[in-house]
Amino acid sequence: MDWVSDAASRRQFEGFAVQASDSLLRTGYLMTGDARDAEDLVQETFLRVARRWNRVRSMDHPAAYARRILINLVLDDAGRRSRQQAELGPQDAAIDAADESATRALRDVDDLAEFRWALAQLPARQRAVLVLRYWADLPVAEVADVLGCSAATVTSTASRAAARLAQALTTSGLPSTGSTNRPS
Amino acid sequence: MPTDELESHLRSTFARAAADFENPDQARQRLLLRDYHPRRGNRRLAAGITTAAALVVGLVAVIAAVGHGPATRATPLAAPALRTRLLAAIDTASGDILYAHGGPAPGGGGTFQSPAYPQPGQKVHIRILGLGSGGAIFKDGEYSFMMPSGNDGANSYTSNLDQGGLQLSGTVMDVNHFRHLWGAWHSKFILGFTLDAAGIRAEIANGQFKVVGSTELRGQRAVELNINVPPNNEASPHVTTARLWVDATTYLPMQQFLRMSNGQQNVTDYTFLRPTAENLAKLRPVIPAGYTRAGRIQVTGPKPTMIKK
Repeated sequence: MDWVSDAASRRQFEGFAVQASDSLLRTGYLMTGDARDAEDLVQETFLRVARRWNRVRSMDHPAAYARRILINLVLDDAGRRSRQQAELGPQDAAIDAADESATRALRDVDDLAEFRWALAQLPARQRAVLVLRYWADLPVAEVADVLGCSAATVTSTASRAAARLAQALTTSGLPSTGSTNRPS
Repeated sequence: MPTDELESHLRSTFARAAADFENPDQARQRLLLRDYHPRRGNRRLAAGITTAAALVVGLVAVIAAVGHGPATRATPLAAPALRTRLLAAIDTASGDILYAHGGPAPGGGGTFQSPAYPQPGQKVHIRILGLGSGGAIFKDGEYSFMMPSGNDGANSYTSNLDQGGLQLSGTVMDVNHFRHLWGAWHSKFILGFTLDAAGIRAEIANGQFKVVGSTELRGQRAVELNINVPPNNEASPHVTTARLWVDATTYLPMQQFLRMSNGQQNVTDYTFLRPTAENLAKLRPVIPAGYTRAGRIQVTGPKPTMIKK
C-alpha cells in the first residue's frame, strides 16, 4: 500500500488536493444535488487517491483520475440503492423531438434548485454523462473512458438524459428515485 | 447527439448550477483539514501533514515532527554551546528568505519564504514553485498573511501543530500555466506546517539532537546532527532516522535527511537568501505575457465551458 509517506510526496499530494478540491466539490454537487454529500464524496475520493498516491502522482492528469473515482463512487452507490432502476429514458425515436423541448426547457431555467432537483431525478449514469460532458467539458471519448462504455453509448445517453431532464423540468412527471425531495 | 443549441444551453445551465454551490471555501477548508494518511506514531508529523494539506504553504517541518513524541520525551543530548550557536544563527537570519527544495520527486521546484523565521505582526510571503521533470512549471502560487500574535517561540509553534495549525486569512495568488490564467483573491486558510526554520529552531531549542561530527556538504564545512527520534510502535510508515546538517561557519541549516520505516528517503536542502531586491522578487509568481487575469474559480476550477456557435 503506497500511502503518501515522505515530505516531498506529501507536498505533491497537498498541492493536488488544493487544486482539485474545488472542481471535485462542484462535480459532486451536480452529481448529488447536495453540498454535504458532495463534501463526503470528495473526502472519500481524497482518501482513495492518497492510498495510491505514489502511482497517481506519475499520471499525466491526477485530477482526472480523482474525478473518475468520484463518479464511480456515485455510480456504485446508485447501483446499490437501485439495481432495478432503468437507465434509459425515452426511446430513440423520441429523441429528436425531445431535443427541441429540452432546449426550450433549459432556456427557461431560472430556478437552479429546480434544475438540481430535475438532475437528481435522472439515473446516476445519465447524470454522470451530462455532468462529465457539459460541466467538466470532456470529449465524448473521455466520458466513455470514465464510464467504461462506447462513445456511441455516451452520445445516445446524453440525448436521452437531456430529454429526460427536460421532461422533469417541464412536467415534473418523472417517477421519483426515492432519494431526492423536490425543492420547496 | 443533442443539437448544438441544446448542448450550449446544457453547458451554460450546468455552469450556473455548479456556481450555485454555497460556501465552497468552507467545504474546501474542512476537506483540507482532514488527515488522508494513516496515523503516524508521532503527533507532530501527523499534524504537519494534515494541516499542510490545508494550504501547501511551505514545507512540513519534519525535523520538528520527529524530535519528540507525545509520550516520549528523551533526555536532551545537545552540546549546550552548539545549541546556543544554532539558535543564534536562526535568529540572526530570521529576516532572510528561506529557500527549501529537494526530495525524491522529479523536478521539485521549491518554496521561498520570507521572513525565514516570522515574528508576530510580521507580513509573511510564501511562494510555492512546482517544476515538472522537464523543468516546466506546473504550480506557481503565493500566500501572504500577517503572522498572528502568540506564535513567537518553540512552544507556541509546537502547540499550534498540536491544535491543527493556525487559522489565518490573507491573499492567495495563483498562476495556472495549463490554462494561461492567473488570479489573486483574499481567502482564509490554515497554516499548518512548517516554517521550516521555526520548526528546526523549536527542535534545537528543545535540545533533541546530538552531534555526529564534522563533514563537508556542497563544498562547505558542515556539522552533522542526529535528531532524536523517539521509539515508535505504530503502523508504518513513520520516521526512523532524521539528520540535519548545519553550516560549520554560519550554523544555519543546510540539509535535512529523513528515512521512513518503509525505506523511503527524503532530502531537503535549505538556502538562506539575503532580502535583496533580486531575492525578494523570487517570492512573486511570474505571470507570463499574454496570461489573462481571472476569478478564483476560473483559475482553480475545471476547464472553462466553451459555448459552441
